[in-house]
Amino acid sequence: MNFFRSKTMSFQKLIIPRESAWDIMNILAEQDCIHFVDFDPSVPMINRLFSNHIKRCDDLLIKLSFIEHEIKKYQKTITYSKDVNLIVQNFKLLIRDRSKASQTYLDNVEIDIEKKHLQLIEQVNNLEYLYEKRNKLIEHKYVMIKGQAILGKSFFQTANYVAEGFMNIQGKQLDYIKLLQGSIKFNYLVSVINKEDKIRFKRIIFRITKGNVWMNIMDIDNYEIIDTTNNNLRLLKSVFVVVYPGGGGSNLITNKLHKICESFQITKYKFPENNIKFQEILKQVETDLVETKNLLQMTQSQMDAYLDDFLSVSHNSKCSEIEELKLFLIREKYLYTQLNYFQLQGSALYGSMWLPEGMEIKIEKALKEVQNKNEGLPAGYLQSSLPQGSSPPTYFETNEITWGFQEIVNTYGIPRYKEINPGLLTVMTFPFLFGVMFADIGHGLCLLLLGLYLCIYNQDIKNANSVLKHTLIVRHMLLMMGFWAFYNGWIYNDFMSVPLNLFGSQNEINQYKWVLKDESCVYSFGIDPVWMCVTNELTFINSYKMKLAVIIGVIHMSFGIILKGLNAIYFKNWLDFFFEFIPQLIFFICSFGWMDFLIIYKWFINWTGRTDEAPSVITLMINMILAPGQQVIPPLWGDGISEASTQTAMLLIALICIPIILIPKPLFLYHRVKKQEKEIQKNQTQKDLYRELNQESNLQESIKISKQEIHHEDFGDIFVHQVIETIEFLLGSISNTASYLRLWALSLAHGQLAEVFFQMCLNGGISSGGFVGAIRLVFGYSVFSLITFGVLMMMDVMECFLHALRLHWVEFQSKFFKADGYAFQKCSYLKVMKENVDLNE
Amino acid sequence: MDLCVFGVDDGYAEAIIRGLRASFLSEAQYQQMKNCASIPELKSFLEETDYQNCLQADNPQIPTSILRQRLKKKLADEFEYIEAQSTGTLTKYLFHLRCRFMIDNVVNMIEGLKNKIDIEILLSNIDPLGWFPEIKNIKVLEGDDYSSLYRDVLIDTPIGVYFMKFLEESIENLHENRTLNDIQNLFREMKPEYIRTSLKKMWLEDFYSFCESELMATSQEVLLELLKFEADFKTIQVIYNSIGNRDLNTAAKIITTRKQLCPTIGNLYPDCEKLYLQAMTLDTLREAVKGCDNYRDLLKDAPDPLKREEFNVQTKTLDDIMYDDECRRYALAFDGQGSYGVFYAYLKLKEQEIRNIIWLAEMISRKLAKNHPGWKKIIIPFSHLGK
Repeated sequence: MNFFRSKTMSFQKLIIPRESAWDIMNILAEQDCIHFVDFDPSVPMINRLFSNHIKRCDDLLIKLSFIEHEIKKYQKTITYSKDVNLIVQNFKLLIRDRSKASQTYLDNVEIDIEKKHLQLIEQVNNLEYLYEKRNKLIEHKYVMIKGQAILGKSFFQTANYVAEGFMNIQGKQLDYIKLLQGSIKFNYLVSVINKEDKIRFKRIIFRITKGNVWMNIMDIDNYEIIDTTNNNLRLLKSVFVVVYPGGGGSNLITNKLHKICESFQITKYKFPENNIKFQEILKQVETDLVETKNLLQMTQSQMDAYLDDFLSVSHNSKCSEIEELKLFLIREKYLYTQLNYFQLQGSALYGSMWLPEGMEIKIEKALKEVQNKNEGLPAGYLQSSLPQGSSPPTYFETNEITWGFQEIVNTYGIPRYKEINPGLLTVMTFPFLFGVMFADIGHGLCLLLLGLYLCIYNQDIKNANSVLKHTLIVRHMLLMMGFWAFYNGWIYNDFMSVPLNLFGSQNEINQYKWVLKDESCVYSFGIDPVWMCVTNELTFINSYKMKLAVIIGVIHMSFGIILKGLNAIYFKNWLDFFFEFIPQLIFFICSFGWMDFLIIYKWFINWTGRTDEAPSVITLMINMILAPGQQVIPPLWGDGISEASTQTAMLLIALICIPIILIPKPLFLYHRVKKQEKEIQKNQTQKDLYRELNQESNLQESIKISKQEIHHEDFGDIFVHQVIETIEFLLGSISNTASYLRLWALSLAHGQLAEVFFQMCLNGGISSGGFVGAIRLVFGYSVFSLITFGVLMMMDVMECFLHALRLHWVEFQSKFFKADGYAFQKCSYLKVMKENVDLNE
Repeated sequence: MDLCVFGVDDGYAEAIIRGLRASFLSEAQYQQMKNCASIPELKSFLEETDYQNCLQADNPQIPTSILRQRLKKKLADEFEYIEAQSTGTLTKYLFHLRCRFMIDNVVNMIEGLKNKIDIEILLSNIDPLGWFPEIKNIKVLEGDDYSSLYRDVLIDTPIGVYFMKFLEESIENLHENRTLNDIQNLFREMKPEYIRTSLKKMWLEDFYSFCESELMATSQEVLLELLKFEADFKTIQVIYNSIGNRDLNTAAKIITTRKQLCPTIGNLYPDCEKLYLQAMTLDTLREAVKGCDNYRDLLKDAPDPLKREEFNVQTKTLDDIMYDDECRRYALAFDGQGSYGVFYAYLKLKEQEIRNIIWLAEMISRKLAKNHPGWKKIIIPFSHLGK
């Protein structure tokens, strides 16, 4: 029964000469079966041997992401890798065909990427500069056009231009201006400002000049101005004209205005004072603009072509070059991260690893292969050794079916090394318990069909990029859950709240009463549909389901306790076996096993005609504890005295079990601890002597000793721990049994919901019949189907799933599962590259 | 009651900030930072922490000023995000928090302009938490004409109110028949530090009354307590710094200045006001504040301000002592539930963290010996809670 436990691990030391570190690690990572152990987790990664290599890879990845960003900006599509195996193969070929040492390929890539990155930056800067220039030219153009519009055409007429300019816009003030004209000269400030700063600018100008200027602002209705630093966002700008008094030269207002303009980072544009010059400049600006635009287009197409280089798809790897480079860097980084787990001593790297048993040959072969391929490279050396420190990792091979269930177990906790793995058992029990709760022929069939569809069209769905893609991973789980829901639906004979009468009910109506057709006949499969038509339907079904739930629960938990015994045998932990497993099992069987026996025994008796004589199982159980030894009335069998004595015996056995669980174990444990302490003390004195002889004190050894010392526990702790364990088990066996009643409760809830939906939506239409009924059914059915899908097929599936999960985690696994292991992390290129490829989706 | 409804509006913002609790550097991480031998090493260490993304683009030999700017930018980004998620009172509250940084920025700009530092450098040194669009326009300041600066630029900024009050108060203090010249003289002699302290005092008082009037009970309880201490510390600092200050030569002048700079809230005001205003030595100051809390203990270790010339890097100054005590209070406030105190505490603690990192960066770049007492002068947020 090896597959119930994790794989046997062997601890190996690996010594790699520094020169061949890359090659050896490269080939080991391709083996997919090694778990490297960090030599000292307290050393930060930056202080490790290969941290600069990792840093280099990181830098290059950042550069690549910059290039990728540019590519996306140009709305080009990158072909992402679909199959990482191809890429791994491709690298293998690539490295084999190179004449130089393999690890120098990173240098090549580095030079290549750095060069391209620099070129790209140059291009981008160039482009930005051109955009900037274009923006400026557009602004200038609009300064001219809008400025003219604000100031009016007559602005350029030499005489009286000031007054005329005002008149065009604000005729009212003409008189006032005319008075001033001649004595004061006006200056003009025309430029462009961001639209969002408009109001602020206006206000500040007003304040600073105390209202002694006239200004007007007009928006530019051109959307070509682009902010290159911010994702090519459109910038909205406005042209403003400020007219202020004060002749030439510098005066207070001029100074202040200039300062403000500077603080708003406004560029100054030339605004000519006469018409001829105006036309000239405008023309100049227009031609410049056209020129810049052409240049811009050219640069852009250059850039386009440049970026296309990164997108070329090679036939070997079936993905873009940039993706290939990225994956290569990720691979390289991973390799060096793994190498960082090694310690440098002299000219060799010393590391340790966990290997699944039997893999040593594979690794030896791989090491030899490296040497054969590259002559002159010193070989690595594998050496098995005793494990140091922590216990071995837990490693299970999973396949597509078991993966999901193993994940369910791992979410709770990774099994301890070599402990029985509940994952495999969950494959069967989980869908079954789900099925008990979700029991319904119709709904179960829907789930079953979904599962079948996903399993059969697996490949098609994967290729078609469908929404269902993400459910593929749990397709087997869905299939099994659907099957058991379907099966249990038959047992309960429940098709969306309607029982099916497929095999012909064994009851018939005789004088307004249901009677059996034949004394000895039973309904072929499941519950007779006639129960649907009687008044005590719910009471009967509930009692039946409850009893079934408790029976299933007790069997499931007893199984859990037995697994604990198997674990104890495997680890040769006889203390646990005799003083925990055996009394626990006996206690459980004598209490709740007895209850199951009573239930089943009661089922075997034909109570027809004397139902009032049937004893209630609950009363029997209560009296067993409250009134032990008393004659049982009404009895289940015989006269009730033999039943009473059996019950008393059961109770006594169960009670005796409690001190057996509670007392011996802590005593033995304490004894063991005492013995160990003595030994340690003896060892210590020996070691002290040894150390005195050997001046070089071994630091590691002393650390180990101190660790052992910490382990020291006194009797109080051990005993309290055992008391807690015992109470947990005793109370747990009661509360957990009750907890299995959720199997009934959820099934009841499901059934009742289905019934309500059926009654509300369909029943009225069916029973009224005729045309009205048909119309009602059309509407009713649409509501029914939606609500069934939403509530029963989505929410209820989720709910039943969660409760099945809970039954496994809490009720079942608490009986035996220690769950304090850690997972085997295999060193694998495929794994790390796959993770990255999945990110792209 | 307000604990029940706190989550309705502010639950999300609080949740985000609780999540950010994980970004604080731990004591072990500080230990590792102390072991860094050079700035590039420190930088690559920080790249393994939560500061990863904000430093990646810089070259390894990052100057301390840029490092500070990057760290602050990150804090500002986080804060902005939370601000964007907030509604109603919380938005107002968060905005009030920002005002403190705005005051700093404005005073720094004024100081820089006075010293004729290039505007670009000044703008690049602005604390991103206290950025507002008008800050660029402070450039129009001419000479010492603060009133026109206020009238032209600051009037419709968030801190305009404080600035106005400040101007009013400083002009009021002049004698009756003042002339324009007097006012100009007043401004010319005014130190930016003085402006900063009085603006901050007004901000603190304003923030206090905001908390008192608008926040819910739990937030009030936490915040008012914190703000009282902050006000007290401010008072003590003002008195402490004015002891033996050469610019304030007459006793009357000292008292009026003190009166202007000390907040009118807190545990010390108004009971001990008379005493502390007249404290002229460290001992009398100790005597003046002994009635409140543990202030006496705080001042016990403070170096004598009269021997200011003897201070050096190692001296544990009053500021350090106060930061330490504040840090403890903020850490407690941060771990409290259902109050706005957590936002305030987060900001303060992150500021402390940035100060720590910068301090360590300084120590590293000066290549001081590892046993130098300066290495111990960092205050680690949340380290007080364990003890």
